[in-house]
Amino acid sequence: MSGSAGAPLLPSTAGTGGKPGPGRRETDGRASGTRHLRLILGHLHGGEIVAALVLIFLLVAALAPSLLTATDPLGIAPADAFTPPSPRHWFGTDESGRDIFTRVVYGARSSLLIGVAATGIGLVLAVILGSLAGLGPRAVDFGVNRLLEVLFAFPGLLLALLFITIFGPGVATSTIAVGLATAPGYARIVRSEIRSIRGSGYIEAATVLGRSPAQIFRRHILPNVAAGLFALATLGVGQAIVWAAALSFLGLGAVPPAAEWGAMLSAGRTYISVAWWLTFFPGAFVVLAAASATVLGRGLQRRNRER
Amino acid sequence: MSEQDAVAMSERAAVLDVQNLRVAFRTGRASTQVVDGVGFRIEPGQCLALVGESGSGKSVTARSILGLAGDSAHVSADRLRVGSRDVLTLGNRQLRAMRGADVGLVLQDALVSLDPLRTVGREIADALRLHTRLTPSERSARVLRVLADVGVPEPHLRARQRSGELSGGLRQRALIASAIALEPPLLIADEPTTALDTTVQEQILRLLERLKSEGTGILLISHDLAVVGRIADTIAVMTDGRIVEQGPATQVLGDPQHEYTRLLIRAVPAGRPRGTRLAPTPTPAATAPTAQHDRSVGSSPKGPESSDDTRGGTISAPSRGLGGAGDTMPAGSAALEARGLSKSYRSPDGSRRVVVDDVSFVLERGRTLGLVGESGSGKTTTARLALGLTAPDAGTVTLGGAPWSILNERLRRPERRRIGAIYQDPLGSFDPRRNVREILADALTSGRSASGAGGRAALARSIAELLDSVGLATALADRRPLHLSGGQRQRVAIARALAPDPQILVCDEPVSALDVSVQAQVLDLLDELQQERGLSYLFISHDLGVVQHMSDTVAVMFDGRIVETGPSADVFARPAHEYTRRLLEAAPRIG
Amino acid sequence: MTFLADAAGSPGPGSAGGAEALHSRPHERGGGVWRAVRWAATRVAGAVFVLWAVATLIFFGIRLIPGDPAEAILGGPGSRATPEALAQARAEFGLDQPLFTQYLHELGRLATGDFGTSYALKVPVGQVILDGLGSTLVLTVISLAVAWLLAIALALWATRGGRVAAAVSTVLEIVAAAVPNFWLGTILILPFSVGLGWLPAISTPGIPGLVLPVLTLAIPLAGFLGQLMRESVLNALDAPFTVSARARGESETGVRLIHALRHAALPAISLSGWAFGSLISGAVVVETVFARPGLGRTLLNAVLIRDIPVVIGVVMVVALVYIVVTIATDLADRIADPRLRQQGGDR
Repeated sequence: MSGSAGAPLLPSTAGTGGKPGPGRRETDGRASGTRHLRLILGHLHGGEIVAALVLIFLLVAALAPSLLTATDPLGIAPADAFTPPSPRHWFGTDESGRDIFTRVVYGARSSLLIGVAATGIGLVLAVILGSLAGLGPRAVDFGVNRLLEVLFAFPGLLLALLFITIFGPGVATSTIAVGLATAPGYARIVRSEIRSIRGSGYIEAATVLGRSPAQIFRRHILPNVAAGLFALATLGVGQAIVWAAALSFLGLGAVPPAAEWGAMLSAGRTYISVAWWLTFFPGAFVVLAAASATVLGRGLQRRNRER
Repeated sequence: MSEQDAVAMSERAAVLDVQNLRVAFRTGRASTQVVDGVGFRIEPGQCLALVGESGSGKSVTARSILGLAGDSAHVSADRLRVGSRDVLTLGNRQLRAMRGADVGLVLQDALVSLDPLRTVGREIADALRLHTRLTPSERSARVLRVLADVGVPEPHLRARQRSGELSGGLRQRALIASAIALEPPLLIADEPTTALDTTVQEQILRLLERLKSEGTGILLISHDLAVVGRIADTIAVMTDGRIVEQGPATQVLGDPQHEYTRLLIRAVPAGRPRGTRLAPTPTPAATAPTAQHDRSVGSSPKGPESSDDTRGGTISAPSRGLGGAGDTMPAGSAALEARGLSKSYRSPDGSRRVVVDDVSFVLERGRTLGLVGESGSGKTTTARLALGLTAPDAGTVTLGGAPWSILNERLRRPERRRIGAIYQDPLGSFDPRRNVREILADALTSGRSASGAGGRAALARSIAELLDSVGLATALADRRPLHLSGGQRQRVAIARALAPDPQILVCDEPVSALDVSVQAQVLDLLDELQQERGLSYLFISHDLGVVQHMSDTVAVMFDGRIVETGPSADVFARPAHEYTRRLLEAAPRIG
Repeated sequence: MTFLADAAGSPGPGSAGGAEALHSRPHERGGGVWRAVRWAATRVAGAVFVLWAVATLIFFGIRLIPGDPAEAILGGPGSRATPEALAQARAEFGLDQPLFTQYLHELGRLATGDFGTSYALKVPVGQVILDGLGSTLVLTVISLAVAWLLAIALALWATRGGRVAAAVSTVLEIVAAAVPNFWLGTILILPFSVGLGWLPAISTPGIPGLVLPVLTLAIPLAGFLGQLMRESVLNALDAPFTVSARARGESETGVRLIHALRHAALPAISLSGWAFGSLISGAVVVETVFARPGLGRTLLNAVLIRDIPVVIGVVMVVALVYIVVTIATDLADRIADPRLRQQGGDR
């Protein structure tokens, strides 16, 4: 039913070692409004709260970095070069004496922007393809499926690399490239989601009530797909940040001295044996951002399923 | 022999002896008492049936006996002995030595109770591997013997197949074989026939009966009194973790002492005449929030005529179908007629499978046509054809004499309000994003939102009336169906079906997923609504008892065809077709 | 990327009551061989189609590159090639032919395994690819195996070790799956190469040189597979058939090894084709981090200098390998899950 369909990604990883027992009993249905509220809050795991806090921090960093640091991300101070982490420079300084913390904070903007934009591109393409396949006649479904199969033959970064080969490196192309590369995966999910919703009991019930296909699409299919997509997008942003950083790292996206996590990491690697902090902190923030997005995305999926 | 010796003797002889068994589950800080002071004895060759509805604690009782209640369970008992072993004092290793050798367990559905990735032969051999020193070849020889013993034909072929490749009956036999491979003196069977077709259920019961006669003690767990009546020597009725009544089967079924037992027996529809109430009329104090039958009368916009005196007792046959105020056509004219319907589907390997084969029937206005058959007989496809959800390959469906199945969907759509449907799985038929109010509002307004304050107030009134007519409290309107009980969900489904004020309801296994007492309430509700509104039901079920109780006319389906049709009383009293006879003989009933 | 998980069939059959579709008939013998042949034929035809489509997509995609391909052959716009040299390059590479002729020509060459000549290296692309392929396959296959072992260990531990283990492994899995391998590689170099000097930072031939690259590739994948497997181990441990097994006297270890693990492996097997693909694209990064020769680095260099024949060649070979691996995982799926064999070829 909609339960499993609502979560085409991984099932929740919450440690639910379900036991046969009273938990199986049906809710006796006496829950009041307050109990509802408590249920929702109770379901917000500690990890999700932490993840939300991290993302809020990154969002602030992206929108108003000057709130978090007073230093100039590009201001060089050769005398301060290679200062290890200290109270003055929390994350140390790089080869030109630039403050790493400041650069990491400023880097949040481009990383988040690339991540969100790439995911947006991927999802829009996916929704178009997936809806065509999921709603269209058999022949369209067949065609879209073959197209997806072909796109899947360029695993992972390959499609992105091919795209960059054609249109040249840069922030814009690498963003589009990541979006393109993620689209086939999303499209398949959107398609199967729509298919499973179309086959569900409530669509048949709506048909029996005399609803037209347009009404059914607008009132049942779209909202139910959208809920899943939102969770999917959250998960996707985390992945897209990692991919975009990878492209920058490879020298195909943002280029140093721009304050972008992947580019910083790539530049810092030269000095790995003398100044580990140059690579450690930008990478740690990629992990932090991606992990937080994953945790929140999972939480959303779980909520969709339990609703 | 002194009396004490006799007691000692019989105590030694018991294969299972339970006294004051208590099981509590910890969830967080809270603790729920699920089994509360249960006690019974089973001697060799005896069958004790533990009967109760879902949540009564019967399955937990069974698992506690095996030490399988789980980590969060706290089990205590004055006595919990399997044979000579005291289960509560056993360590893990000793418990494992006991399981399989001294007790066998048979669960409900062999499709998932046997590992679907392994052959049944290996599953059965596992018991031998764990408890004997037999060589692999000796084991497989023994497996074949056990399979043959439980009546599996061609055991050497079947042993190499997996549960998914076997038919329901065969795989249930294989499951039993895996439980009795070591000939344990005690067999615990937890709903062993629940997922099975009537005729297959009969075969499995016969197998259990034979095991009993060969000296195995059986603890049979079931929700179904009629099934239990077939083989149980003793029946213990369980509710809310307690045994409320225990005694010889004939006595419990024939002369029930406890109120709950009487309620359960009364709820069994088999053999109860058409129009008899199955559930007790609740007193006002007991109404909230599930059952509020009382309020349904008079408040329904369509049924002012049906008054209190018709409820609770038997309704005389001639008055049926005439009560509906909206009836302009005389009873007896066809509300829905199917002629020569056929439908076939392409199976994965490319061949065509005929699912519905030349099916014709007439559903008369204000009456119920019961469509009975086993799984795979084509009932559900017939329902979909009647609803105009699938186009027949051949044949036609007409609605009140007007064309229906041949209509273009665009033309059919405005007419759809005339025919509604309720399903076995009400939860799946609700959009998970909507609460009860939204579901009903959508059904009432044909998907358009109500405009203006007046419109909204009228809508709210209609929703309240609908909920009232199906016996639900208005307070439930803000809940999502997920948070309702099974019975409440089915009531919401009925309310939604009633919203466009249809003349016909197609009910596809509407009570199959419900507990007996809830089933009784829902059947009563359907009955009531039919009188009030003059509804015509196409009532589909695998359960002969339910169909007999609900139907004026019965059609028996087998392998896509209707093999017999006629007035309910005639078909059940004098079945003409051989298959109907077989079905009737297999159907368990009380008394 | 975690987005392919929907391809993984969950091992939970529905309820057996009522639903007519579930009315399973005894398996007909003899149909199995026919089904297997049909399945194989479908898959091979599908593979050929995908390869053709990939080639076509690339051929026309490459035409979107701004500028004159002949100029690119001669070293890009900076080379100031003479018109004669350009004309000669056009003739040599068939660029003066009509587009469709070029297309057919290209297909013909690809079909015979001729990928042309590298613009930069002036050697046959086939040779360039062969030089890197072996090293990359060794890296990815070993990484896949290590990821599997780590994932199984993690899943078993997480479902056995109680609350703490479950919580710790949840964190481990999420962090591992979020770690970019370009960073992980660098971070691993720090203690093991720079600090302790146990393992080479630059990949050398032999086992020690493989350890860090393999870990770098395997850990993120293990995090992902571990999440997947733990979830299905838990599902399997909750399934009625494990209750039956316990009631037969099976130990908890036996239940896990004989029943749960196999069910847990199913979705992970289904995803191994995808996982292998992600490893190959991860190899681009890891081979760069560890300066390890291989297909990934070859591809990256070719992308950076726009050595188009090499890019096409590598992408085609990776697509081919990926398709072969996908078919292999499908086959493994059908072996591990007999239920799939009874259904038709496609989902």
